[in-house]
Amino acid sequence: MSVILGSFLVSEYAAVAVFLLVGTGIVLFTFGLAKVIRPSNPTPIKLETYECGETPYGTAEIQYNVRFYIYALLFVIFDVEAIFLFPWALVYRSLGLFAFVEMFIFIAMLVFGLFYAWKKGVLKWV
Amino acid sequence: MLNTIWLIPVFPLIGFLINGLGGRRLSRYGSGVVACMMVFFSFIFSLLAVLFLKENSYHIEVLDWVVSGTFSVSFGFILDPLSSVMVLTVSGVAFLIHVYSTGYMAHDEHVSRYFAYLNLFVFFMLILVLADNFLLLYMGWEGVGLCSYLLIGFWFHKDSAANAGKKAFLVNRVGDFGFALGIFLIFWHFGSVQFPDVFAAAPEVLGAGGGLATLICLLLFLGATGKSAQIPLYIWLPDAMEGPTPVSALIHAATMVTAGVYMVARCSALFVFSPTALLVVAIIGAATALFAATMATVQNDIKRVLAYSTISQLGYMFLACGVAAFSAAIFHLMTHAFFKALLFLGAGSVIHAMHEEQDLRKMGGLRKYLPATFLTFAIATLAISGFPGLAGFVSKDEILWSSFSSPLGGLVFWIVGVLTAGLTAFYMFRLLFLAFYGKSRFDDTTAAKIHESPMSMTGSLSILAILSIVGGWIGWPEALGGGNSFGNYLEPVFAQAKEYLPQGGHHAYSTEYLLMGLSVAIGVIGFFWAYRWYISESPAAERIKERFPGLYTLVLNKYYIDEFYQAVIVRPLIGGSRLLWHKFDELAIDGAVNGLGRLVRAIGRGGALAQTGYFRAYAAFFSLGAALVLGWMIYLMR
Amino acid sequence: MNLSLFSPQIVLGIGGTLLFLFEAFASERGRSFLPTLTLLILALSGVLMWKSYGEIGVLFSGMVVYDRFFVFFGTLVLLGSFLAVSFSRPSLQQQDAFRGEYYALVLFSVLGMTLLISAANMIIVFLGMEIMSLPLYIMAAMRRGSERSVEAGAKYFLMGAFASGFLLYGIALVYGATGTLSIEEIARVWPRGAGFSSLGVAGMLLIVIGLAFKIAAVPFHMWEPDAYEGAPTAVTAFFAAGPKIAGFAILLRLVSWAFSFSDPVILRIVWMLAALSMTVGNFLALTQSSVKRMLAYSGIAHAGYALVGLVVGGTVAIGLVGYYLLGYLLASVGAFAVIATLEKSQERSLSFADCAGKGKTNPGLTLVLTLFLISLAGIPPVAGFVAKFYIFEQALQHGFVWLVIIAAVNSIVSVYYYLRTPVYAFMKTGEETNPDIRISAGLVFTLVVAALGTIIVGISPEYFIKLASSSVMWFF
Repeated sequence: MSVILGSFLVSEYAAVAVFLLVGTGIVLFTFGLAKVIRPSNPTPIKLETYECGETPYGTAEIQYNVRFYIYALLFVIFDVEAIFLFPWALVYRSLGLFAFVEMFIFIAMLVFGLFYAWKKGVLKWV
Repeated sequence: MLNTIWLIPVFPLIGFLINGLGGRRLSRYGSGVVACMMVFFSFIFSLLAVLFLKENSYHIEVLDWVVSGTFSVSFGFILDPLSSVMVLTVSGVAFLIHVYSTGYMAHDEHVSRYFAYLNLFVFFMLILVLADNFLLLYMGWEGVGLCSYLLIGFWFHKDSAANAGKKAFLVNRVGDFGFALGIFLIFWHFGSVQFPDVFAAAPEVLGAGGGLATLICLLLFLGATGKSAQIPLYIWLPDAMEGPTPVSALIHAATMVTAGVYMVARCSALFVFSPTALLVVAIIGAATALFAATMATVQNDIKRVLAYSTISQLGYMFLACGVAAFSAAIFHLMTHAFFKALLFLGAGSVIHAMHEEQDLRKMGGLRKYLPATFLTFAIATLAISGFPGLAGFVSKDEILWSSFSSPLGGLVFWIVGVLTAGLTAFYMFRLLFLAFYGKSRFDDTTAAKIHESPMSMTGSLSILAILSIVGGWIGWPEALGGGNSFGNYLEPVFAQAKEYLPQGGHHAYSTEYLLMGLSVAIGVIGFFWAYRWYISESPAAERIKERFPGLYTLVLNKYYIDEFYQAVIVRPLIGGSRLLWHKFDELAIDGAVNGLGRLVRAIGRGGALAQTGYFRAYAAFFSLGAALVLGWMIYLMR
Repeated sequence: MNLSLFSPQIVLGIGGTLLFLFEAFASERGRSFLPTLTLLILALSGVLMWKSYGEIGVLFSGMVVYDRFFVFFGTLVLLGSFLAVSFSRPSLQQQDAFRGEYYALVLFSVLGMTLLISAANMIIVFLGMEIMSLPLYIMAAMRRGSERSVEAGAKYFLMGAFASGFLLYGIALVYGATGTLSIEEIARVWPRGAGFSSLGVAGMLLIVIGLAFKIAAVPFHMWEPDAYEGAPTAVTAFFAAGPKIAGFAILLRLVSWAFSFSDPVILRIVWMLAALSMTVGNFLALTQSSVKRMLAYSGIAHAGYALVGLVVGGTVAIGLVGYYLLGYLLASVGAFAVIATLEKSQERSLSFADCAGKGKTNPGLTLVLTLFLISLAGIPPVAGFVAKFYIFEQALQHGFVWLVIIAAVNSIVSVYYYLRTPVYAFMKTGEETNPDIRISAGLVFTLVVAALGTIIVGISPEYFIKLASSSVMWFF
């Protein structure tokens, strides 16, 4: 191995480069492997967009009603709430009352948000 | 009590703000009441402060504004006997004139503007006399100049008034230029503009001799000649009579024009180091006194007579300053404020009654129509002519005595002073006789309309009349059994100056009695002369006119001084300016300035092109900036 | 942990949340109380902030700090927001942008600012920055009917997200270089003198870039004119009062506390940012025809002047930056308040030509506007002049002659466009009068406080400068 490469390998950037190479390599490798071993027999039905079993209507490149975004936002908020609740439940015993109050405040804020959205008519589909 | 002296100038400022901003909402009456009240408050606060003043000088720093290196500007006030006298005179006389104005200006459309200016003037004047440093003094100085300009041109729809305002402003600029240079010099050599610092350091800096003291003092005095209408810059004052008469009384007789005298007295500690400068002051003062008095003898406009008389009396004050009799100057300043304000207000009352007639030739016999005005006017005439016992006699006599007895004075000064006193008696009685005695020289329709002025005006007149009589008694000379308590009161202010003056020999009282008697006698001669010419043998004046037509025309036309200035200074200046304007300004300066402006705007427009409004452009610019910053960092750290 | 030291932020958070709910459930009449409620909450927060003045407290395991710096700059932010909210209702209504959420958003944004100012940890810096900024994006787009407003909001949001990326990356690199996120720890391990690691310096510069975006320093200023002009004018006043001050505050805290000030690299780069901001801001302001946009560019220029103080460094100069911002805040909020009142159409912002003759029809408003512009231009004796004077003097004393020359030239150039409005207002005659100018009590309050403040801060600067420099004293 040459001297230049050797000095590069001990520098702090080597790890980054290795990480980059390995990451790309793994992705390419798995996709390539799937390509090689899977049978390929496409039909029009198989190439259709999957929509939870419904027959798709029109193309996917259309303008969605803006209300979907608000629904999605509300969903994300409560999804995140759930994610927070899991670790909280695990350490709840050791943290005690403080953790309870804190999580209560957190949920209360989200509930306020829900109230707000509700009152503003977000939950009503017109 | 003393720490509230900063309120003294604040009251008129409030009055100015109320009248200036909300004047339209106030009634005519309301404007006047507000203005009078504010000045009255000032007067009361001044009075209390002066009564409470125990030490020699009270110094208060109101604001510490900019402190940078060796240069510091603080707004501070000084109350000492000198500023006490000034503050009381200014606020007291101003109050009376404000009251008078409510009557005089009652029919004017712009009363609130008038009172706003008047209050602003009082504010600046009080700042001027209370200032503890040259800069603040200068601010007040310029401020009163501004108000004077505004008030002379108060009736700006009249061309003559607007021009007179401009003239006053421009002539004063010349003086102020000198004054400003003087202040720069002081700061340069003393490193401070605070009065206490400068005066304390004066012996050290100026005592060494050399031209510095003379240069500084003469520059300061140039400022004084502008403001106080002395030779050669007196020419604006007679024209300033275009303003409303109460303004002439307040600004152009009693207060503002005396600012120069005040300033010279305030700087007495500097002037004593330059005998040359003092001599110049004395000569200019004496010359102005005599010169202006001769011009006053032939004027036909009632206010112009008084204007020249003011110039002449101011000359007296400078004469006193020049012979280092500063307290005599301030004393005369005060008494003069009383009787000259009274004369102007009396003249105003006459003009008011005659419906804006100012020509003496169209008056006569007014004694019957305006008894109150006549009585007060007569008292003022006696006072200014030096009738024994009245205010003018005491103060003028002290000046005359000092000009003779002071080691810096001399017989010549005394003779000029006494001649002036005679002329003063002559022209004042001439005025009195022409206006109030003899046959009426107006028609019956006018006569029917003449009426005595309202209470607000006659009331002010009476108070001033009383002051003109008793105002001098506080300085009654020792020779006549008095204690000259006024001089003693001012003693501490001029104590430092005294130290560096040569001590004069002692003069016997007998000399003083002699000189006093002579000056009274000359005043009496002046009186009889006027009586003979204008009462007993009234055509006599006409005969003189015919016998010496050249001399008469010369004096009547004010020695053609205005024309001389016009030809020698104004016209070449305008021609030169025009040349500069066309050739230099339009081509070089404007070209450069406009070119620069165009360049700047072009750069700006070029920059604006980058502001496309596209987000992608913004993001690209942002990234480019960040890249440059980081790239530069790498370059710096390599 | 003394939670009462954190009570200013808590009040703002709870207040904002409750206002949101209140807004949703209240009647039309109830909504008209929103501004008053907001003002009360802001005032309460301010009172709580000053209650423990002088104490120093580290809260939440070193996440947040309560110190004089927090109180000073927090007060500036609260004061600015208070003034901007005070006159907002009629102005927003006139521009069809009066929505109750605005007031809750103001409180959330101010919460973000106070968090940012009190941050003692890089995470809080980022968190505060985002809590402050997200409501701003919504506010900018408050005039939903106006394309310009929505465009302004969108641009502001996108650019803000972009800048946040830089900030976050910078925090990450600094973490990589020092191994800690605590500002105090960073200050301890940050090398002084020689021996900077390029990783750390790059991180620091990225953070500076992210913050330069918030204070709109050139070349990261592009968003500001668009956002200022597009937003409803009352909101613009808030933009000028809040985020800029908070951005400056955290910049001062980071640069003078966490990162060694003697670092020549950051010195030169901030020097350049200052010079560029002054010059570009002023020259672009010259060509504007809209008063609002002119003030936006003037805001960029003022960021440059204030950065001069940062370049100089040290207790005195950093304190003077705080004093400078106080003067800027009063004058700019006041100026925007007057503009908001004089504006007549919803779509087109106030141009210089629109001001013609206003000196006759609205003398009071024009006079105070002139006062504010005089302060911004730096003409004595008001606050803007004194602040500029002292900062330039400090820079001269420390040998930054060229920077002072650039700043002085810029100050002279700026007089031209600042005085344009008064010139139009007083010396030209307008074609028509605008009868429906409403002067609300809130507006009067804003203008009186701003005008008096501008004068008082200008003529007796000693107290304020002392307050400001004592707030930064302990960084050094």
